[in-house]
Amino acid sequence: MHTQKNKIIAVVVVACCLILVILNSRTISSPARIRLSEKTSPVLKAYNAAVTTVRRFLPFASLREENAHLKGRIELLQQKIVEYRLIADENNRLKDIVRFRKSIPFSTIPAQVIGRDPTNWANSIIIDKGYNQGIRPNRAVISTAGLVGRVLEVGMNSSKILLITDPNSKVGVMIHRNRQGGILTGRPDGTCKMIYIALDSDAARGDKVITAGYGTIFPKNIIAGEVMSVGKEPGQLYKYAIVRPTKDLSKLEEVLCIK
Amino acid sequence: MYKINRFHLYVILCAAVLAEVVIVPYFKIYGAKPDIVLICVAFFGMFLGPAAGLEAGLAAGFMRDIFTLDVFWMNAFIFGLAGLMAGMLSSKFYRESRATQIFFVFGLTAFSMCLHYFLSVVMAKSSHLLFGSFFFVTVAPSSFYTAILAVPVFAKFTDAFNLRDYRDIF
Repeated sequence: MHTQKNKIIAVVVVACCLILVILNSRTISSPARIRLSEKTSPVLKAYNAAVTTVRRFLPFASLREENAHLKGRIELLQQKIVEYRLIADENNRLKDIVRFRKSIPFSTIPAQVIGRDPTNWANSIIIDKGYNQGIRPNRAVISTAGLVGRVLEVGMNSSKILLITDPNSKVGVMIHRNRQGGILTGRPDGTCKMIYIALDSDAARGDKVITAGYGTIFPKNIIAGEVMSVGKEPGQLYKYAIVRPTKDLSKLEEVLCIK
Repeated sequence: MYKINRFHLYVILCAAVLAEVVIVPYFKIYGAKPDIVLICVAFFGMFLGPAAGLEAGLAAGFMRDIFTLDVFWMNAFIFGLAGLMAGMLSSKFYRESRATQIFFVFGLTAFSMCLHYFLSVVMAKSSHLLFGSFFFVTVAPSSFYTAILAVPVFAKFTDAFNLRDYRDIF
């Protein structure tokens, strides 16, 4: 009885398959399949997007270590670029100094600035050359841009330079254009004041101020600065001019000491 | 409880003087630079008393005298006096107040620079520099710069050395 029933089921299944095979023609089955496919396409799209996203992120996970390594290398290289730029700047400055040394008629000793005056009153610098390297007191100090000051105190391997911007500094100067003389003194704000300019002087803004060569310390014709303004203090018989040094003396790094 | 002692005081002063010689000139604004040594001296005077202020001032001034071209001992004298004044006057004010600190350091810096000017004029005969010009061009901006910088420095020191309720140990 039981085997009879199984046989009938088997025959029905085979018959159904046969019918389906017979019905599998383009006219009947294809439209149905397309409709079914369309119904499932959003699900497929969502699944595909999820898989794509996962596949996109999977390599990042594996590249994290390499990324960190490369970031480290970039930082190192950036640091090296900064170092090379500093070296290049220093190289350019030193080249300028060498070129300048060859172009001037004095024998000079190059020196590096290693310290600056800590007070707000005085303007002086400390250089890394002293008596052992040939530095002597009361010698002029210049830079590639112009006059810097004079040597005041000399140690065995370091010296102190009184800048022209120090209130105690006095340098005999003249205005290049009209050859009118005066005394250049310093001001604590980093500028200079040229005093004792004759009242009839036509000194004006932009005039170059050069050393006059009076005395034994400063050679003649070294540029000291440029006139910023000219004025007259009440009750004085002379004019004065505010002079800006050729270079910001608070940022000097290398100087030349005249022998 | 972490408190300040002489070792800390001298280490801070040495560091401040060296910084003034090497680094601070790069922070000049229109010719004015902050006086960080005076900030330290004012701090020690205000928070540790007149004796500590005097000691710190003399030591810091002496160290500055080494690096400058001023008349030797002039800075020691001026800073010693400034430290002593800071210590003596600090009891008259609420020293934890930022406004007080700014006002106090401004006054102390201006006083020390003006004293420096008069002593320099007398001893080095730099009479061509008029006081009015010196005051407006250098004293006022430098004092202001120093006073502004004093607030974060004071806050850092009081926190680092736990000095909020500190009494004179010198």
